[in-house]
Amino acid sequence: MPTAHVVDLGDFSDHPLVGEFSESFSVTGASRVSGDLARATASVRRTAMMLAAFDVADPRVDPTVVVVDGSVPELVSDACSFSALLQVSAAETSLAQRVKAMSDALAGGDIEWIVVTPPERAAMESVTVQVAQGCALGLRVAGVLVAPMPRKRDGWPKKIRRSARGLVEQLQDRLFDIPVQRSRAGKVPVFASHAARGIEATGAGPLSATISPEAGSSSGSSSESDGGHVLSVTIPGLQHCDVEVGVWSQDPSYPSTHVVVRLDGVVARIELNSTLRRCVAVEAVVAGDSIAVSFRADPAQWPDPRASRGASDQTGESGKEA
Amino acid sequence: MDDSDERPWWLSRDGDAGGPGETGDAADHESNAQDRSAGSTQGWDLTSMLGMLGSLAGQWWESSGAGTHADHDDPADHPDCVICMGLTRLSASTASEPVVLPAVRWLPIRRP
Repeated sequence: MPTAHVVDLGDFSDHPLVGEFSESFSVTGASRVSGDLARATASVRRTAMMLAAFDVADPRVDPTVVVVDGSVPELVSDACSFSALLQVSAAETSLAQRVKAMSDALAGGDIEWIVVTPPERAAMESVTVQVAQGCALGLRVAGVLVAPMPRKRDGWPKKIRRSARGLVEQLQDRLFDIPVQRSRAGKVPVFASHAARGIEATGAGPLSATISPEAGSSSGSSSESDGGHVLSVTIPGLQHCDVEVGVWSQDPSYPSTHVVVRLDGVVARIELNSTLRRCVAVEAVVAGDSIAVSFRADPAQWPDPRASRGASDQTGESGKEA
Repeated sequence: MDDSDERPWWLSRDGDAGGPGETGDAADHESNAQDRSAGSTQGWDLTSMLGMLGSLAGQWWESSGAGTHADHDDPADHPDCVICMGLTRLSASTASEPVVLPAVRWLPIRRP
């Protein structure tokens, strides 16, 4: 029978790594208010605690389950941001490399996330947003477990039991392609092994990204006939989030290296392939659970427009560089 | 003879008795008088010592030129000032250039 090593993230609050990690960052400037500083401090501590938990996890022996109280997408987003900062400032240090290994594992789908929520309307709305955030970050969402369900043997009236089951079905509809199960007495929840994760090149999966040469009808506002592209991203639960879309460049030689999606305050960066890096983002179209970002070729990056078409033919449909 | 438990003469509750240059009946007489006001005598000694230390510190402060540091804006512009020099060296040894990630360019969103 498979076993797992279960630890609580809070167990690492006094780990020496928390102090070491905290000393790597300093907050400067007087424009911050106390709330920002408190959140920043908590963010640094939680990221360091996650790093400590990541260090003790040894998948060769037993899988490790880290119980996290609070928003996992916020934790992952912070870890990715700290990793990006350390890559810019101190990429060669051991700490930077460890943080990068963790953030790569989190955002690369090497770590599964099981979400547990009670059958309450507010909690399920929050879970919908968190699953969307997690998918945008590239987290492998194993599934959502709704527990504890009100049971007849515990004396819950039929109306409440039926209402709870209705909420579960509603969540299943919202989070298409993400397994949603309700707890059953005495049974361990089992989620499919092919847990959904990050960007799928084929367009399938909970978060899918496809790139296609821009057809005239797909983006009414663009009249570009050469070098135009559309990046489509589909995220379950997106329509229940407050969405902002932008672009960000990690490399000054390109107009943009990532599409940035901010869902209810959590920032996720989707890496662009070599074709889109040499294009300029024009606008984003948000419809349902999908985002379509239109790009036009940057003349400085594409001296010959015909070269753009040739290069795009070679990149296939993946939104992420191989 | 073990004198390790004896308190220094300037903190002795016997006042100045036994102190340098004071012996005999006169000292005993004064000792009785000072027993009644031992606290104030001891306090005066400590106060004077603190005052002396403060005076020495003030003299050093004036001679170092640090008293004019309050008028200095950028420490790098005042290499002769002791405080500015210390601040410059401290910042050079501990601080690194702040890292600022490039800003996100937010796109207009259209909802059909």
